[in-house]
Amino acid sequence: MNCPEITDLTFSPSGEKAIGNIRRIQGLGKGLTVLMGGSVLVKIFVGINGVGHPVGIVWKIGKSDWVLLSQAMVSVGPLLREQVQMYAFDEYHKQHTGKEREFWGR
Amino acid sequence: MAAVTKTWVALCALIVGCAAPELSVRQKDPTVRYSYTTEVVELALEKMQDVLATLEKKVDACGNERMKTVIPPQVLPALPLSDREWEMAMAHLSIKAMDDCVGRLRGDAVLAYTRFRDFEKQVTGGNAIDTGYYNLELLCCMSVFGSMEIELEYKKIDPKIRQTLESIPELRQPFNPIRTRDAMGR
Repeated sequence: MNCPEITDLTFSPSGEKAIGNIRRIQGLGKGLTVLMGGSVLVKIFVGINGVGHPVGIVWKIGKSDWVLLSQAMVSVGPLLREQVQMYAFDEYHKQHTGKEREFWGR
Repeated sequence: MAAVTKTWVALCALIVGCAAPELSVRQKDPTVRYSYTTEVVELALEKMQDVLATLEKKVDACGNERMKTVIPPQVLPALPLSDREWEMAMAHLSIKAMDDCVGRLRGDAVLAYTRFRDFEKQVTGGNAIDTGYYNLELLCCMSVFGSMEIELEYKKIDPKIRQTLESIPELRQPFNPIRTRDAMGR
């Protein structure tokens, strides 16, 4: 599995909306928080105590964050996993360039 | 004397009838053969849980197939499509193949969930039974809006080219569109 480090990542308004949709998936936040603790991807996809609003923040995602996410996603239910994948998949195809496209393509 | 007895019997019948539980009255009424209430809700819940368990397994199996399957470039014909059109075509056909793989189970799940919630409301007056992370939005609609946006893009491609693509058996099974395009070098 190719897990690239992504630095200086910012989200477009469309990406922000997709993150909002992912955060609305009931049950996902609890599962990811239990399995991934305070990982940067939990901050993005779940938000912790109001921290992690995707707009205006520059993110750095390490290789180990992707590994944690892939392990956690195995543990959440297939239907929840499919929803996250589909939101990411749709975002990937919305012609974002560079780092955001790389992010959604993982 | 006979008239007094008749009146007394009629009064007794009326008093007993009024005081009897609803179920007993219905059992005496030949037009109402049963009166289950919570049992129906429980049965609907059980049916919903069965469908959801089957759906989860199927989504898991189809999703795993989609993630790991890369279509060899030689399977795909040379077509006059831009990189963007290839991207939309692969994306849409992958979504469609996934939907076909899961089949009618998703619809069955929506129906079972909706029935359960409707019966629950009829009997208890509300929807308070915990169904975990399952809700109508998750089962029916959540990410489908984006999938339809992709489909609209796909429909801009020449119908003859779409027909050619849709006739390729490998594109009708779940596949990974991103890795497939990587393999195509696009």
